[in-house]
Amino acid sequence: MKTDRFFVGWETAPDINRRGFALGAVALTLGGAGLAAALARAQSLPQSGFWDQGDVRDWRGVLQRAPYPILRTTDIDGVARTAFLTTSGKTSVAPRLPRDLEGPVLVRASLIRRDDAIMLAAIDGADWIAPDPGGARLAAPAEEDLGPVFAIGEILDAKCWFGAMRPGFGKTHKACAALCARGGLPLAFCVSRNGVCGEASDDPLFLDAEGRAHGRAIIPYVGDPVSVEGRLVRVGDVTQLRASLNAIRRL
Amino acid sequence: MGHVYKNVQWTPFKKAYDLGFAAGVVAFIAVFVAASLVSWPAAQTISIPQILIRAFGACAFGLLHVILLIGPLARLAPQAFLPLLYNRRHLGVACFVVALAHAALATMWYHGFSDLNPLVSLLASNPRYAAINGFPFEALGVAALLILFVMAATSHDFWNANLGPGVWKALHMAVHPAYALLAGHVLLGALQTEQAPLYAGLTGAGAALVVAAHLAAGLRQMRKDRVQEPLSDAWIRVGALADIEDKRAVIVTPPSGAQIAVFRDGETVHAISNYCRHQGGPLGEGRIIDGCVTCPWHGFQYRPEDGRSPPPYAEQVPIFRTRLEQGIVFVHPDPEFADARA
Ligand code: HEM
Ligand code: FES
Repeated sequence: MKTDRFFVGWETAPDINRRGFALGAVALTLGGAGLAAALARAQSLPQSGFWDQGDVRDWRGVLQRAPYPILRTTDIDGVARTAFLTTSGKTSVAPRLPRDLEGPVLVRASLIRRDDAIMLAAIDGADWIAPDPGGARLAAPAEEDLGPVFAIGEILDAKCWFGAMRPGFGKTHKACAALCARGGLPLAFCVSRNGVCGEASDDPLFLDAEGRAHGRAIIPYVGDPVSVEGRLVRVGDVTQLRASLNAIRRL
Repeated sequence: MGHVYKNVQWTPFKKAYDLGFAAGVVAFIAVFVAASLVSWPAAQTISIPQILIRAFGACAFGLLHVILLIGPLARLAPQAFLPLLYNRRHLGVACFVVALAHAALATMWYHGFSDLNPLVSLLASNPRYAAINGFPFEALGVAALLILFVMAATSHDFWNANLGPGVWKALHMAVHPAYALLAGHVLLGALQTEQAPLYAGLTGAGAALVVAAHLAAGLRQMRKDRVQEPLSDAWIRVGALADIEDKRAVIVTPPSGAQIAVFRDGETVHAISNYCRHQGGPLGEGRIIDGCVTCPWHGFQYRPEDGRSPPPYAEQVPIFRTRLEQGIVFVHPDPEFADARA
């Protein structure tokens, strides 16, 4: 057997340990595949939200414009629920709301849902919403102040959080959440559990101290680990965390 | 003026090499996607684009580790690893292509679907470079991708010949800063979200392996590179002819630092520059084949008598005078032919 090999790559039959190379190639491929499986399985738990963009339906309910465009509806599962209205992208649907429209409406949209957290993504085009004269008039729910809170977690966009992107939190999602915040989408506050934004779906909507949407000044805080001092307020089926900008601290 | 460059031909070995690593890349991505899909109930799986972004990113970063390890391993165990060096450039191009897929998908998914230009969002939306938690890790990926692009674009021998081995080599050493940028991209990005010890552990182990291999190869090289002082008549004593393996060389380092490869061919000796005109491969670790010094990296050949490549090729390396006295070999450190381009 020849031991002093000298490899010349351009030779038709270079002097290499063929068995060694075949074995090495197989070992590297299997090792790489094993690594891929281990890495894939070790990914942090995604969330349970879903969004089937192809499943477009008509939803009846009552239009509400503040703090975000909302449809109060019983069409989801028979109970009165708050469904936030959005576009198919990272932009608010508010500019597409006909100015004088109010009361019962019919909305063509696909459902984004994470347990009790619900959003409706409107179809493109002007005919996504129409008055629904015969529609039931759901009463607007009353506000209930639950008192002051101190919370640690992350401000994120509710759309991805409800299931548009899974997972839709954390550092890797920060840039995307900032775009959604810029676009005027509803924001949520994800309470940190063991240092990670967790699995719970009852995390509150994040609003300013007066219960209005935060403006673009909130963008630099989105997706960062922060603490907030504010008040919890319940409005029907939605919990709100109300806090002003200067009550937010980066951790 | 046209440049003559050696067109490295396709051979069965090269095809097998490319097929082998292409199979590895496809297996990695396929297994990553499949394992991501079956790990959670259908309604809870990670979004498909996100799975792909991660699969491509991890694959490109893994390939970069392989690329970075081949160099030092080929120095430490040439018999086993030199053949891997031969086609390393194809690995580099593959790494760039997979990284590009990762970057394009990430830009589309995380920065698209809004009324802001995705590239503006990518490059300008987060200026918090002083932060650790909020650091725009994407920018490090962009910089690394640009480096990978320049290296992939100039990987062909055409550029090698036109830029000259010095410039080309310097350009391709940028793979090291690219690696550092990507370590930052992962550390300040994915590792802040992925809490599993496997992620941090693997990133750390990968970096440790790359650094250790480079240190070991560097140390060995330093020992080999010890300067040999000339005698009073300016000649350098190389050693006994009998101690040089036939058709092989010993490498001599004169005070100038530019190494000389002293070859034995039967009972004669020849000395030529240790630096291949192609990519600066160590000719002294090569061998005389068909009367020509053959570079261990990609097989460029030079006639030991005059340092020229056999026709039709036009490469040329400096040669040095040798003397054989009572079985002892001496070499004169002044080159006989000063390289026009060096
Ligand atoms: C324009 C350039 C780039 C952008 C915008 C970018 C963006 C991203 C984003 C957003 C993530 C997080 C993905 C997620 O967890 O969902 C990520 C992760 C990653 N990127 Fe990049 N990247 C770029 C270039 C690169 C390059 C050139 C490489 C390597 C060759 C690379 C390697 C990685 C790796 C290894 C990860 C971690 C993947 C994992 O979680 O398994 N990236 N990148
Ligand atoms: S460096 Fe490529 S053949 Fe010498």
